Amino acid sequence: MQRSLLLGLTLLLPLLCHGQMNTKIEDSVVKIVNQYNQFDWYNPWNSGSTGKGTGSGFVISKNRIMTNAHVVSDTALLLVYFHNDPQPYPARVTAISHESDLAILELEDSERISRVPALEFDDLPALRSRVITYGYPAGGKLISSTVGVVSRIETQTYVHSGVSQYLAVQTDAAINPGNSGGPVIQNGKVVGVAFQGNSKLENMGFFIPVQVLNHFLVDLQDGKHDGFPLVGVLAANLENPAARAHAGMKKGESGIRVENITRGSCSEGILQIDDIITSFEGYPVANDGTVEWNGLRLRFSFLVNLKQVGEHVQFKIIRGEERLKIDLQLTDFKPFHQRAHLYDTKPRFYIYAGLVFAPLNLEILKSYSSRWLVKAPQELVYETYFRPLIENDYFDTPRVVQIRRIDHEVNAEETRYLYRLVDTVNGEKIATLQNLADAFDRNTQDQHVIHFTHGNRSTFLDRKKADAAHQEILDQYAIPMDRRL
Amino acid sequence: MKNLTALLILLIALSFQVEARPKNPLEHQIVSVRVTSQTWNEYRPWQKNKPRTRTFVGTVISGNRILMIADDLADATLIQVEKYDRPPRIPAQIIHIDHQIGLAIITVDDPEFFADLQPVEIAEDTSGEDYYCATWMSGQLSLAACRWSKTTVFNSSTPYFSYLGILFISDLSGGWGEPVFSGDQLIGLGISQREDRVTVLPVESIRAYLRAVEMDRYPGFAWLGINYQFNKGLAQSAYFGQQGTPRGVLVLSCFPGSSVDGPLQPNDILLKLDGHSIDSLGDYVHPRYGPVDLSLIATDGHYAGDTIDAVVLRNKKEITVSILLKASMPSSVLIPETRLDTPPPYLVAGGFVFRELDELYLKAWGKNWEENIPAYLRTLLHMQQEEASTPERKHLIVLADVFPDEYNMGYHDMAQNIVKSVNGFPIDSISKMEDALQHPEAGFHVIEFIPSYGINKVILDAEHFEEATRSIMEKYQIPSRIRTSGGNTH
Repeated sequence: MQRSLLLGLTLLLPLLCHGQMNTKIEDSVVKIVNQYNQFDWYNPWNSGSTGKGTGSGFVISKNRIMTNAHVVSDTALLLVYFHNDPQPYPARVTAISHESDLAILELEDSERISRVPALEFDDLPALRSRVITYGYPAGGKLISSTVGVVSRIETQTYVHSGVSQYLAVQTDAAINPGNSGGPVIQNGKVVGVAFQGNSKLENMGFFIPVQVLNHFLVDLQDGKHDGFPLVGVLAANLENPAARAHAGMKKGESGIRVENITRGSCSEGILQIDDIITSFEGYPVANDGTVEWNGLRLRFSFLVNLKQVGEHVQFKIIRGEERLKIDLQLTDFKPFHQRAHLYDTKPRFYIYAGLVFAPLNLEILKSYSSRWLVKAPQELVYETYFRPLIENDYFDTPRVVQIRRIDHEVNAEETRYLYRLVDTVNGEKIATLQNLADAFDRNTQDQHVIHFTHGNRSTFLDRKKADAAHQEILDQYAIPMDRRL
Repeated sequence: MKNLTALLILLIALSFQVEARPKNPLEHQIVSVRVTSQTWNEYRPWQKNKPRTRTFVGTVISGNRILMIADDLADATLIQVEKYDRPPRIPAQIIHIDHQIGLAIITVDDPEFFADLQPVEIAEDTSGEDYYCATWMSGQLSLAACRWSKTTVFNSSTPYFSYLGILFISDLSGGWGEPVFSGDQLIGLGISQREDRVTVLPVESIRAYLRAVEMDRYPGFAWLGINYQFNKGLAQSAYFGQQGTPRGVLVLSCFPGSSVDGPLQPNDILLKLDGHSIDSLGDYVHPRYGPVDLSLIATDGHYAGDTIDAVVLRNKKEITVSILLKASMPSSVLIPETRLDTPPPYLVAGGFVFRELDELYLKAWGKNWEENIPAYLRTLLHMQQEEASTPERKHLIVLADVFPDEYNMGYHDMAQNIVKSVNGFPIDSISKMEDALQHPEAGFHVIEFIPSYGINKVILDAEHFEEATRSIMEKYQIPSRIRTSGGNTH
């Protein structure tokens, strides 16, 4: 009897402690209402589609609220609501990292936020330890919290921008739309920010751990956001003993083989194809490309993601017979922005005589079809994903695509090619919309010739008639401007 | 006496039965053809898929021959014919097949089989009225009316080759080679059917094929190999020096090695071909069928080996060039659409299964194969459509599968990559790959792939390579290690 009472008491105690802390935490968790305006890359001159989204956030300092980038993307008006306070407080985004799906908000009225305690950060929670999420799932008016355990810690694709993998923590605490941006708490401190789910897993959600949160905050200390650096190397695992022997690796040595060095990255000119990376920042790299970090086996890129742009990192490599130490200064090179979802960006375009051109990027591909990967002309997929690998070209080589033709008698009978890469206009090589505008402007021949990159395809326009029709087409189709270069 | 009466009754009954069935000469002109076919397993190219048996219609023609649709005989392992759709089934053999024009001729050894059969009368052209088609259904001759809908140009199972078809509306359930008649004359063969629309190969093509078969040397049918864009726009036509209403089409490219490769050039405006004016949509006026695609000129009264003239606007001047018509080989394409009754070349090496990449392999991804294949293969497939194989690169070799073994550890998830080189030798065929594997580099086999995803370079221990290949083949029951494009396995 005594024994079970004691047990009951020990169980109650932590719960009571939590109860006391909860009031503090709830005060610091806010609901964020985002009135957004999303521009349309297919009709880039039109007003965007507007709507309302809700998410969560939490106070991290006197006037700063942390949330997910996706909660506040494309915002036209942001309102913050505090726990048990019906008053909306207008806010603005002061920093945003789409790649790590994080953002910092400040309130126009800093007095309200100063009444709320800032939440402190803790470290990475242990596997199987308990965490509590706080937030406003499904946009409800009152705060909600759910408890779960940390079930896995590994790198994941952050779907908001969709290009990179960073560390993420998986938990069975319910993380639903609206929870996004809310804190994940352990022992009264923040261990992460709830951010995404996975439709393939039942009752599993993911949160961004403090390593990524801190990276973002440290990055911002100099007043600008550089994001994560990139080594710019694709490397092959060396699990096959023959592959290791071929590389001249001795017994006990492990590592991965450099197979591709991204054009323009900080590794270019320093690392070489077939170098074997055996260690990074003192961490031995295993044959499967992982490193052991605080008891976890993580892809070696995780260690890079702990670094800031401008920092130096040390590699140990095997090059031929030699064992070398390599020092690399990390840069802010971002080669993959063409492949990222774009936010907070007004679509760029150029119209001439009804022909609509746009830069090649993921938003343009999505404007073709939600299933663009299989439906769009495959040269666009090849250009975006494969050609730079095969030809060792820059991944961010600018390209221009003709996406539409707005019909008018000056163009309607001419051959139409849509979602095709423009090669030249009037013989001038085209990489940017500015090149395109210049090439049309400079032409003195009777016809404009728009030549596409594949299949020797061309479209022609009568120059004088096209010049004359240009404004008429804009007027007729209510297009207020012909360019945003 | 009693017996005699019974015999009489039986005889009367029998004669009534014969009388009851209306006599139709067609009963002696069409036969059922039962074809058992078996395709290759594209993933496991040493084995075949489950055989299947289908029944098609054969049309009796002169010389103890039976005319059929070529595709119906693809991958046939057994062909049997039946008269009146009743046993006995007699084994038959293909005596000629042309997948390009889509027709084939079969026969049976015993000439007696044809004794009570009658060749059909073949019309000069498709003109006529009251069209109908005929087939056998459970021992009954089945006739169905066909209503002429329109002419259409459709693709042959041979890449790039297209021919004229006629769409008929019919309540027939078939598309399996049923002959179509006007009066008692054959005007076409049903090639395929979708809902109530039957695509019919017109008699002009059948006559051309039969004439070709009679020749000393079968000439085959030609294809042009021209890739063009319309020339409707005034700006475009003016750019190339045309005055007035645009005519002809703009040549974008000539398929390497094709009929027009050489005589025609990119940026020519093709105005006339074989005396036919080409309009700005690429059609010429067929005397009977009206405007149809210019690609049909190659087979309109012509065989491979014939020469036709073309009038083109080149550098703003009209010139006449002559075009020697050539037949195409399906294998001339970098990723062939079909192999036409030949098995896929492959090589098993250290548990890796390499094979030549063709569309049949990609089609093994199932119904939505074009959407389901790996993205890199899809981009290759789409972008190679204007490319022929070259002496430098005949075909692409794909890593179809990896049979897991300790020997190939670390490489188990690499399937669907395309081989670039083996031990430094560029690779475009299974036989080159086999040769390259005879030359290891300092004790290693180095297989490089075109970068797409995963590892670019596989390194294997050359010393234990053959032994590993043997033991993996035994473990996974792979009966033969290699099949080169000649078709021999060992």
